[in-house]
Amino acid sequence: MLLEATKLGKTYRIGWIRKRTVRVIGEASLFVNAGETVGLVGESGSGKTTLGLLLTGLLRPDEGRVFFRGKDIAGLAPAERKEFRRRVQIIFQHPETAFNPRWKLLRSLAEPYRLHGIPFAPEALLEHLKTVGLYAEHLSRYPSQLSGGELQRAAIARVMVLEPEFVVLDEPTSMLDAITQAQIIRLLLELQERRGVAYLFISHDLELARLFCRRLYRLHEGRLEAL
Amino acid sequence: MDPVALAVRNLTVEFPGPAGVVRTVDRVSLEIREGERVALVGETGSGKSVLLLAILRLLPVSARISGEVWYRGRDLLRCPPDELRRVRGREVAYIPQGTGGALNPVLTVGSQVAEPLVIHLGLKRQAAFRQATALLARLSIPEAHKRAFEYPHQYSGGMKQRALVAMGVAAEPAVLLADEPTKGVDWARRQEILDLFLGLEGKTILTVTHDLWFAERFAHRVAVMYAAEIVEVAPATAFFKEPRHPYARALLAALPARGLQPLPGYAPEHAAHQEPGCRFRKRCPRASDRCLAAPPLLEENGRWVKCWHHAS
Repeated sequence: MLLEATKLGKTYRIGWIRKRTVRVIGEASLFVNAGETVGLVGESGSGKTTLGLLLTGLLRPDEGRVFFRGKDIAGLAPAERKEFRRRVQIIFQHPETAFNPRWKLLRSLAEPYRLHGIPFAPEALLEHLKTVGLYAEHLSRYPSQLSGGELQRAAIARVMVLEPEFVVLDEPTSMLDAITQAQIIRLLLELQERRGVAYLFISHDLELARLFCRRLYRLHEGRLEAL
Repeated sequence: MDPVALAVRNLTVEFPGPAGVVRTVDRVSLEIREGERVALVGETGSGKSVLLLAILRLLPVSARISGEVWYRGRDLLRCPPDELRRVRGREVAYIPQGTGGALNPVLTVGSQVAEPLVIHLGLKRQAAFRQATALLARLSIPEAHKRAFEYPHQYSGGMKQRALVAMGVAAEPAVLLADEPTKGVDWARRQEILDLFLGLEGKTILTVTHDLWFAERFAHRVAVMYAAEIVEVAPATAFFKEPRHPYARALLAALPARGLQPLPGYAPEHAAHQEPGCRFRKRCPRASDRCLAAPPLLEENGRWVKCWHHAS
């Protein structure tokens, strides 16, 4: 088992004058095996993204624990934490906000090399880009000069550079047209076959999730159930 | 047949850029009849949204627009600015995408819906706000009398889209231009938005969308755009049963329900549009030597297809 979450809970405190709490997720348990694709479906506002953030350690749960390769991610030593940050990645729904608008694509794509101390090899980067259908000419462009589909592919390349083992895909195609969506899904499957990466595919599109995932979870009113 | 409500003729839009002029809409012609609902589909970057904006001259001043847009005996691309302002919102209204920043975050939704009523119908602010509230209620915003006083961030995505539709229809225009009404909206909400648009009876609607599910249920006719050109125009039922243009076929084959088969390759760069021949030929499974010459948009039994092979 690659990743396991036990009885996760998250409560948001909202309001400024009239303070309230909303329990978005309660007692959510799930697991993901190495190299498999697991789907997470639910309506908008059901807490799917929150769960994705909890599993990637970008948000701390109020209850429950997340284990990656058997270790609780809340108690990782600095070096282990860095390794976790490399092997667990997330791709967001809105590719246009996932890139610094003031950086050309090259700088955004060189960032993972810098952050994780990987020697930067332009040829290797170009190779990564080619697998997602982007070319050297794209590197000198700003995010605003790329289409949504191109940016989402760039986001996939940026993540794959790190050789992740688990990637949360947070509605990666909901803003894209049918052909671009099919391209992205095929690309993700191809990368999975080649590198054995596991996915948690978050979607509100049950039909697409059924096609893409081996197992499905559904989040409804804060409860997680296996389908 | 109903009279033509809006006629786009030979419309071309170009943007000057550092790497030369980029032509995002290339000699597009499209007629929409009164009461007709037309969906313009195509992938990102095909120029469909630019086409929609060009109709009402809503593009930045750097855009170079040529061609004609006829509406009730006027060419909207050439009429004086004050006349155009009377048409915009009053006769032909644009409904932007709900997910973007189309609503003003510091004004209440009610006052934004009331604005066209003040501007175009000359209503007093209070009366306009009351009418806006009624309009929001009619578009099934729950507790509209309270929610009209709320700000856009307090609205869900589907409610924002409904508020934008309310703004669009407030001054009772005859023609609506809607940009991606279902983009990023989940399945349950999508049905609501579809019902909402189908409920606008008698309106002439041109919508740009990449949501084929929506297009199939919404439109009388479908127009497909690829690389700045219209490549197929067909009645919706016939189109979804049997698309003719190879690109249109690929578009449908990419749907999850129809196999999720992506088309190999990517849309050509704008610079490549200058090259002679069919723009789709490099990705086309049926490309032949004939495709080195650009095919015309030809009609056959009410269907227009820009492909040498479609008849065979």
